[in-house]
Amino acid sequence: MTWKSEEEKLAWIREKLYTPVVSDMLDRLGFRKQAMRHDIRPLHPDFIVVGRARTLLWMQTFEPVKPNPYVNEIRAVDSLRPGDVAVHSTDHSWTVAPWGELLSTAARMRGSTGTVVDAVVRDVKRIIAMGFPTFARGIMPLDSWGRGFVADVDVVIECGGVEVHPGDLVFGDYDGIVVIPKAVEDEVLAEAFRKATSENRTRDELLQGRLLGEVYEKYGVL
Amino acid sequence: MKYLKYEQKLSQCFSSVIMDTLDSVGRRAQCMDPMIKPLLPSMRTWGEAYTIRFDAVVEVPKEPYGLEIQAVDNLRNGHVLVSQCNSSEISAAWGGLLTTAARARGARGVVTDGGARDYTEIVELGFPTFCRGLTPYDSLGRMDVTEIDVPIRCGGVAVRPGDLIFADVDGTVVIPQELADEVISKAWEKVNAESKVRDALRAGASVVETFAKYRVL
Repeated sequence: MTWKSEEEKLAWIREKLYTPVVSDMLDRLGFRKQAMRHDIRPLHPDFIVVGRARTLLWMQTFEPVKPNPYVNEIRAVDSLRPGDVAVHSTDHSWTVAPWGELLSTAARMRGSTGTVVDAVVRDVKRIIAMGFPTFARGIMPLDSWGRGFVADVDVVIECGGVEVHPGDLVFGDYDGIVVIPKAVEDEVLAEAFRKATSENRTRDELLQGRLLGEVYEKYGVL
Repeated sequence: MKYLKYEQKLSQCFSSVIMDTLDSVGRRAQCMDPMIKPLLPSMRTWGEAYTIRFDAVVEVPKEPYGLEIQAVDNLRNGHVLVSQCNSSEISAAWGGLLTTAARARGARGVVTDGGARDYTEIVELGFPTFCRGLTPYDSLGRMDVTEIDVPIRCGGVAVRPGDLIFADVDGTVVIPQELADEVISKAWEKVNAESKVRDALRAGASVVETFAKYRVL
């Protein structure tokens, strides 16, 4: 399976695949811990995110880091490119909202396709209204000012229990979020498409009234 | 299926009223953990429990899905599939293709203390699905069905094959089969009484006099 461009590839994933089939193919290749914890949820059921991970490593602080506590966060958002997805490391303190509506607007203007936040977010109604696919662990009004600081960007982080490397493919929909390591990306995508096709055939035969036992024997998917 | 004769009465009931009735006969712990929720607030289901139990596995079994497929093919009109997931890691005990298969057999819904996936497909099919959360993880190699049609514990409540399950957005209630006739008829009476109370309150009666008259709230 080949794609003419990165843009075409991301659009193809969005159109043809869903997170369960991708997760199944990661399973098959031995990557069994690539789905984030189930409490990281889209702010809206229709949100889908597909793109390249750009990672932000957060640390907890107890006063504003001098001279500018937003310095790395701003740098990260301004450096986003089309198809990038800002992925924020796990906030164990529950006190930081690393993402809100203004950052969503800034990210969107750079061509970013969404964000994944293992922490709380705010300005939720506005984010939903502008349709910026945002996945988060909760909602709180707290600013990160004096509570959290981006220690580094584009480094390996942990988000939702999954190790995320810069450039990994991130795919999220209402069923959850999967992270596809670069090394197996094309193989996973091609196999996932094959499985989705078998699932369609299985569904058709179930709707004709066949028993699950015989249809599973034929196509081997569930 | 033994509860289809109560279709009309059950369609007018709510989990809260059924739970009140169970309370009144001393069965005060028949509601599952509130983490078990419907995929949509409008989803509700009732029917005869068909039970399965998943246990955690550390590798893909020789014949994965074997008993699970058998259980789904055993479902009949009026069944609600109830599954216990003995696994600390959440993975999908239910999904889109299983929904299509279960519906073709006449099943009314599914209740699991594990996860589900293929949200969009299940919601489009309108199949009442009650679970602990959504996840793209397949059960394959994470848990496998080890027994079907046996007593289980789901969401903290014991469920025997043939018990009556009633689930809506307020919760999932298990009515032991030997109490089903009594609970259904009492619950239905209470629903009717509540309708009278609602009418009286709407007509302007005070809560004190209405409660004194009907003894329900």
